[in-house]
Amino acid sequence: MRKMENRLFIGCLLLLLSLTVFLLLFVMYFIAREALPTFRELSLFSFLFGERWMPVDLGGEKAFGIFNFIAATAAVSFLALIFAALLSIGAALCLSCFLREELRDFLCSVIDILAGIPSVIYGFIGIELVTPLFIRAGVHTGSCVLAASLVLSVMLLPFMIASLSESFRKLKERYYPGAEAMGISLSYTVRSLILPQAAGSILIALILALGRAMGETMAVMMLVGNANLFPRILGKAETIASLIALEMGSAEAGSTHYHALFAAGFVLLLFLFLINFTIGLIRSRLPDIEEERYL
Amino acid sequence: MEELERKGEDSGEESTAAMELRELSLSYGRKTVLDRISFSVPKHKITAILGASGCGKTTLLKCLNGMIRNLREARLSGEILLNGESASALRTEELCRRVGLVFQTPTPFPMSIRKNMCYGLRYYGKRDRSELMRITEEKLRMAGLWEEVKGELDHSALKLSGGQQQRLCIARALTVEPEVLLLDEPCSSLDIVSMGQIEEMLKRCRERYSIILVTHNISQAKRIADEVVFLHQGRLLERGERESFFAGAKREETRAFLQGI
Repeated sequence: MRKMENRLFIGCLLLLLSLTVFLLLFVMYFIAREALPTFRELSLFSFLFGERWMPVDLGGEKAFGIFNFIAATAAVSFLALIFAALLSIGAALCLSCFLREELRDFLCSVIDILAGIPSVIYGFIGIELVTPLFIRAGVHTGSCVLAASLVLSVMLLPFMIASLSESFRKLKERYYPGAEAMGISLSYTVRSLILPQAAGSILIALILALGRAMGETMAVMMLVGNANLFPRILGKAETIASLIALEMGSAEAGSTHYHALFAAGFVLLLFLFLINFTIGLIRSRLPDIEEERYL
Repeated sequence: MEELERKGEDSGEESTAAMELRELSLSYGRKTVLDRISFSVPKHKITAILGASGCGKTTLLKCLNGMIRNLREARLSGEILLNGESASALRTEELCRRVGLVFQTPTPFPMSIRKNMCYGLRYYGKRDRSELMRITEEKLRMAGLWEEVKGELDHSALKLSGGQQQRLCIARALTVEPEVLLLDEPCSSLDIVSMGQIEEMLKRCRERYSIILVTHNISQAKRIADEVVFLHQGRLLERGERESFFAGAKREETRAFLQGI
């Protein structure tokens, strides 16, 4: 009887798991299926490296090149990542190693709240606070790659601070007592032991954050200006995510425009897969923090 | 750097005790963990602190090397003298350096054996390679580990066995030339062979250092201790030289502990 129950239970779990996997595969398949017809009309090369995007016939020739969008996605994400990395490593070190426990717990919950703010609100905050600064600095309308990446970096912070401070705290608990017992200061231990040991965790947190940054749509769309231009720090640009969000509603179903948007989404998806694959590769190469100390 | 050169025996020639505790008490909030403990730790001897789990042995060690000061809830009173000098006048880092502590579980740093040995030395400003090498060899020999690892100093310390890791940690603690070495049940996670090796090394080390060994292993205390202190529920119940302590325990609680009741 008990055996039957166990089997039933495990059977249910397997069913749920396969359902999840199936759903994922289905999403992939669906996007790929809708994307493929694009290439009946244009070559993969002209799609990926073309710089003209003219989805409807307005006198000129139609063109579907997403090179600038890919470049803008990369530019906005990497810039945001650089800002977020600097801030989050410092904040996480401070939180995990130098603050009193009560203060740390309080600040961590505040940071968690930051993570719960919807991205459209971040977009608003960006329009209210960031764009006026850029207008004053002489950027027309204030929308630019830098403005978008600044706001995006704030959106990446909660996740990065949480995961980094967790790794730092573990390392400190494990190694600082040994150093402390020799009279070695915490700040020296942090610099010479904890930070170098955390390099792997830092890299993984950065790559995960990069994935989030590339897919972020709303806040970036509100601040980046949305013009098909090659991204410059103070110039307008348009990311893949905002391209899809802006044009999907107006694209005629079944048209090349429609399929091309799916293809752009597929490209974004491939980038994210590549990122996850890289993380897996790094994880398997680096010694795990949890690694047993004893043989 | 001068202070690193100074050996235990040179400083405070007039005092015969390496450490002296006077009415040392410690409480967390309302809970009293240590209650008016007084005893002195003779130089170049092994003083064993015996007692059941939770009687305050580990806390006592953290008081002695000052690490307890970093716990904000802890209230410390009484006096500790280190070679005649009041410990409360010393900065925590200075006290930690002069009173080394080895933990129950080995805590090697995730780096090579050589870097583990040089970590503290570099912090205290030693840069000269041959000097670093000399100290590394000297301390590893003292720990009885040199012959086992001399060919693989650049291998990760995490690859060593548990007993080797613990001896490495003791050798590492000695690199910064503490005057007193505290050991907190250093053998409790180790097998009998490793335990024997560590006991041998402690007997050798007592020529240079004064040692305080916390243990709940009575036979270990019988084998290597010169002096024995018995703690019970945060209070010092009995102390004495090894023979007299084990031959004639006076208190009921001590006898019960020694008989394993």
